Amino acid sequence: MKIGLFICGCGRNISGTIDIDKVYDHFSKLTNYYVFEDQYLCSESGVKNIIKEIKKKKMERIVIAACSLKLHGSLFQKTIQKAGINKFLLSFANIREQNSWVHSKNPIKATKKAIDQINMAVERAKLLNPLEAQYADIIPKTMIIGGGIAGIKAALAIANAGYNVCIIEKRPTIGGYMALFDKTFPTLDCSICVLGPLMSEIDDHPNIKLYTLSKVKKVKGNIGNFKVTVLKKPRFINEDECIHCFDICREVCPIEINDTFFPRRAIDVPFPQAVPLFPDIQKDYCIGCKACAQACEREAIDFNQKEEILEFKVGSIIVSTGLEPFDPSILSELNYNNYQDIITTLQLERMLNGDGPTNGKILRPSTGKPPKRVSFVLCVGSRNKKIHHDYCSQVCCNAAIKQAILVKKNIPNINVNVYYIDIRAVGKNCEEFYNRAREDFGIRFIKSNISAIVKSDTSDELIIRGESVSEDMLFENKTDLVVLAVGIEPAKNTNKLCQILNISQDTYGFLLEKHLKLRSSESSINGIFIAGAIQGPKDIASSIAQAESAAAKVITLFIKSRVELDPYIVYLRKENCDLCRLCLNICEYNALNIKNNELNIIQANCTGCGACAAMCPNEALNIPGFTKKQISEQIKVVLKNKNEFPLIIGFLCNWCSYAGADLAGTSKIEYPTNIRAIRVMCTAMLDPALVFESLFFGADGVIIMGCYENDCHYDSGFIKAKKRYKSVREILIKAGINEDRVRIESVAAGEGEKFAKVVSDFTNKIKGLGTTKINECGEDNSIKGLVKSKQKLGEL
Amino acid sequence: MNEKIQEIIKRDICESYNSNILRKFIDTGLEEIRACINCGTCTGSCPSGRRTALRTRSVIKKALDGDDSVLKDIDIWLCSTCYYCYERCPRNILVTDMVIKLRNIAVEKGYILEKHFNLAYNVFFKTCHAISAKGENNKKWRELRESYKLPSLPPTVHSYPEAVKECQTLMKEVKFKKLLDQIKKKIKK
Amino acid sequence: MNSLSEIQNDNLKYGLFLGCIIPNRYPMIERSIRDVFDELGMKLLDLKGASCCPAPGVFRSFHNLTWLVIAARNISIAEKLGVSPITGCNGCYGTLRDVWYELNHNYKLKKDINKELNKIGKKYTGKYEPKHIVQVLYLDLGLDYLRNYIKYSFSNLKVAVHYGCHIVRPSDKRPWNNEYEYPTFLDEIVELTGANSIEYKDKNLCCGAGGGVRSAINEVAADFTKEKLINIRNAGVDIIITCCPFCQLQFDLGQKDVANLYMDEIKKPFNIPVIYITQLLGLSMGLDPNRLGLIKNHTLKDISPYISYKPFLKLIKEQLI
Repeated sequence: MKIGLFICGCGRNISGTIDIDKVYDHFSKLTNYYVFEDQYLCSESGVKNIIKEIKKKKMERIVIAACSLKLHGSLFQKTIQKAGINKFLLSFANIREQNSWVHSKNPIKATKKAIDQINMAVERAKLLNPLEAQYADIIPKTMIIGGGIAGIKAALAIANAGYNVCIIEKRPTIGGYMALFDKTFPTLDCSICVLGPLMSEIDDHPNIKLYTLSKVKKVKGNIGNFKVTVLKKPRFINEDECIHCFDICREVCPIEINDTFFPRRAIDVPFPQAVPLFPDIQKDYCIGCKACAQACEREAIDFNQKEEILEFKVGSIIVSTGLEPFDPSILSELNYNNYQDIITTLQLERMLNGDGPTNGKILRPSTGKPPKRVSFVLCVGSRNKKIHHDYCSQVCCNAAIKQAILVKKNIPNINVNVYYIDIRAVGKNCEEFYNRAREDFGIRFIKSNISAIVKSDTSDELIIRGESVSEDMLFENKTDLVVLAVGIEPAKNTNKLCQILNISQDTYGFLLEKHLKLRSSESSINGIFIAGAIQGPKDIASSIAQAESAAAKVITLFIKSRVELDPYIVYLRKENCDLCRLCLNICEYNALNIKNNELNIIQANCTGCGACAAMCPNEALNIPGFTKKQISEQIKVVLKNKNEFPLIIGFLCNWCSYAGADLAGTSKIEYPTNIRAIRVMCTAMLDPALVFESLFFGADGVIIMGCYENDCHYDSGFIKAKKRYKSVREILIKAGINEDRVRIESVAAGEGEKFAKVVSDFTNKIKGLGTTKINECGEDNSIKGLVKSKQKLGEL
Repeated sequence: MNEKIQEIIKRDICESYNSNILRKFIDTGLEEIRACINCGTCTGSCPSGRRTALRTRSVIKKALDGDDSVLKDIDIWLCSTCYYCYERCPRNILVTDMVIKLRNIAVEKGYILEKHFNLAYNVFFKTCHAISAKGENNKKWRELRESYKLPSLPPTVHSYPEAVKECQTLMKEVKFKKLLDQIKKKIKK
Repeated sequence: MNSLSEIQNDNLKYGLFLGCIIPNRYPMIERSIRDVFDELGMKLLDLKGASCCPAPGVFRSFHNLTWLVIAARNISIAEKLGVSPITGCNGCYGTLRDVWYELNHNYKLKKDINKELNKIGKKYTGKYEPKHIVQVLYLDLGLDYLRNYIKYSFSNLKVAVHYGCHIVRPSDKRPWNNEYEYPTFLDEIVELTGANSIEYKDKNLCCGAGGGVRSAINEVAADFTKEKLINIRNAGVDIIITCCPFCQLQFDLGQKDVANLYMDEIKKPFNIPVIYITQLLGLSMGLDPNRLGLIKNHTLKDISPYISYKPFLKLIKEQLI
């Protein structure tokens, strides 16, 4: 069989660590291998070359040693298809994300590992068979999670193209943070005047359905066909009856929630432009006096409303859950919690807003009088390694400059100081805006990160301490009002949402895009897109740009009307089946049944988890690309040339842990080279025999990594794997092998750091145990024991 | 050119940033210093700087740029090691430890205050206490102890001469004694 | 919090690391620690032959390795007795704890240090956590345990609590959940005695003595102290409570220094009694004020305390009867 091996140097990304020439030499000596190396395989010339060489050499199986298949998998599939071979006769060696990027300090071992990885890919490739792609219809409907400016713009773009959209918003109104702003930088146009009409458009649009006070609870399925469960909390308002005359119910409510910046009654609308314009009742504050219900002539208030569970079927999802402002109280030197006159930019925004608590007047919260001196403190919660916010929040400089100008306009003879580390007035017209603040408004900019804010013990002034860096001078400036320009964090509960959606997060919790530049509005899962500040701090203009990019991708998907799915579902080799029925119980999808003494597969029902194949003692059931033989050959080829101690075989779930390992790569988190990873679709497809085989052929440890129990792509795959793992350990004890050589862990797609940590910990653990020896723990004997044990496991 | 003009035309331009002080920081595992973005939090937090010429950020910056005049300045000895700079640094730099490292480098080069040297040489090395209750001068302190029904000397090195020997052995072994003797010679000169 | 029954007597053994200032300049602090711990049912073992910790501001600044090895020796004395070394001095606490932390996180360094210690027949393991006596009172025993021993309550006593630096910072090597800016544990112990802890400006400002500053230029140290004393006076308090003998010395003797150096600025001398936490706690537990060093029962000149305790005693006299 003629194998074509294409090795990518990826500029210095791969070749900077791995000795590509050595790898090239190693494989070009072998017969039946055609080896090529390229600086960039994914470039146009790289791709053309692959096609040319495949045709010329009449290659039969292709191995690509490059970045993760999750990045350019489909590109190379298309490439070999163009060369005239079935696109599934392709196997990948991930020598970038799972090698060069995480082993840069150890080039020699990394090179050896790369050779192992390629060998494994070749063994897998040899056993690949041509497959037919599967297709599924796309449900031309999108769910947008989060109704801030990004969600609103994406929804309108898609709805205007003629497709249905549902918006899931956790608050009582859409509009997000933009709805709370007074003016926007650098144009100083009225925020709600821009946003308000868009919000109304959402309300009126025939293709858009809005669900407020709602949260996503569960998501299943694939691109084109997601099933989403949503929990809708009660508003206690009958929306069919309410006619938006919210003054009547509000006026009679005896409960005032005395928040300085967001005052309201227990029944109230969040702000006058809210959409939908229904009041809502805050259950935590309401005393149940029902005065509002009596006052409402339309009897629109319904205290009996309950939580509802809603089910949706959609073809794509856009996540636009936005930001959470940084809470400055954890920086105790700033005394945000201790002194009333220290506020955040968001709180000042409420003061500046004509509809806000002070009707647009700037007042010191402690005295209710206007301040004479206002100080802005930048980089609060940004660029701070101590609290793991190493990033720049991007908008705070411009936001503070805008507010400084508005404050100055509001009170012309006020003294405004802005304390900064570096001013980053990026964005069109923003530098000019910054210059105007200096030149036209006389705002003083002092280069200093504030060290502490304290209160004078002889007056009600605040004292700002710091070093003026450009003058090498300490200062203790007195001021009346301090505004902390707080940074941006991902929306609350993003971790949970990501687990539900199975998508990856970056190290700070923002959503991870497929590629920072090329595919910044796509999440790690096909069919789930990202828009706005949940991908990373950004201003309104950038959020909108990304929202429309996500919308364009959704529309493109819907126009195609059907989607190609991987054909990795179960296949039956009838002649091998002896009707033992072990597979029947484990399948939860009704994909298997026995009729007329014959096992039948209903492929349409099969999700491809492979739990049945793992149970099959006769290899009658198989997931192509992941057959026991294929996995076994990969194990054997590594252990035949065992070049490291300890050597660990890792089985990585395609959806979570493999993506987590890739994330460790893109985040450049170093970990030991000792793991040889084998990708499986689900940990449930892992036959325990393969674990025993690994140890038998000389592996020092085996690690199985999958999803978190409740977030499994196939519902209960990881739970099944865990049950098997328990028995595996018991059997190992019987066979006299230290059971700690096998470990199972949950690593989510967003947990690159955890992946690296787990691998490091496990490697250390195995180092302590030494090489695998049969009978190392005394009990029972040798390989026979293992074989027996395996049979026993079949019975379980 | 006359001297006055030479004072004006100095050509005092830094030509390179090679500093062995930086090397020493990195060798002792303080390489976080590279994360510094010159934000001034350390200097601004410094209670000593509010009354003296100590400017934590500039001192460390200067030292890293190879300006070893900071080793001779008294400024680095005015840090009271209150650790506010260390705590507040947004870049996780162990600022106070840097100052202490600078002092170590200064002493290595023989820059130490006389009072500090005397404390190390005449009190600490000899008695292994930093403040002693021994000797005629300290009689009142021993009597004060007795007035509280405590033994006139505490059960520390003061009561155990062999313990003093132990400490002195250690100080010789780690070459502290040698360092002190070198400085002593230098002072005599 | 621990209740009385939960605390086993055999756990309550500690090695008292004295340091230098406590035994040699403020022996009443030593007396009060010993008496209070005795009353609380704990056993304090002497760390025989212990030396200077060594002081972090001076000796660590001169030669880091000396600091590490001598401190490791001191800890090893407690280890041999099978107890945690506990200290009443923030400086000693800083040294013992930082060295303990550093050696336990740097295997190679620990090996090197043990190579040196081996030459004098000692060994450092790192198994016993060095503690401050305030840490023992607050974390090991707990306020509920202490409350059972309180006999007198000083409800009209206004106290300026001074923590000092090294008991809370560096916070990553301290047991206070990374709270470095606004700790409360010492205030809570003070308030057990019924006294009121008064807030004052820059409460956590350094006393000025540490880091070798007092021995380098006393005027600079006194300038810190002056600023603190002004803030304390502005808040209107009766006494200053410390948990460190060096801070105690700096406030006590320092009041004299400040009066000599900065009379123009301070207008009139301060004369605020400076009292160590176990002196106050002991008094409230009904221990003999003579033994606690609160009544000067000797005729020696120029000795601690330099600022008279009399106004304090006068203030609490009624409550003691």
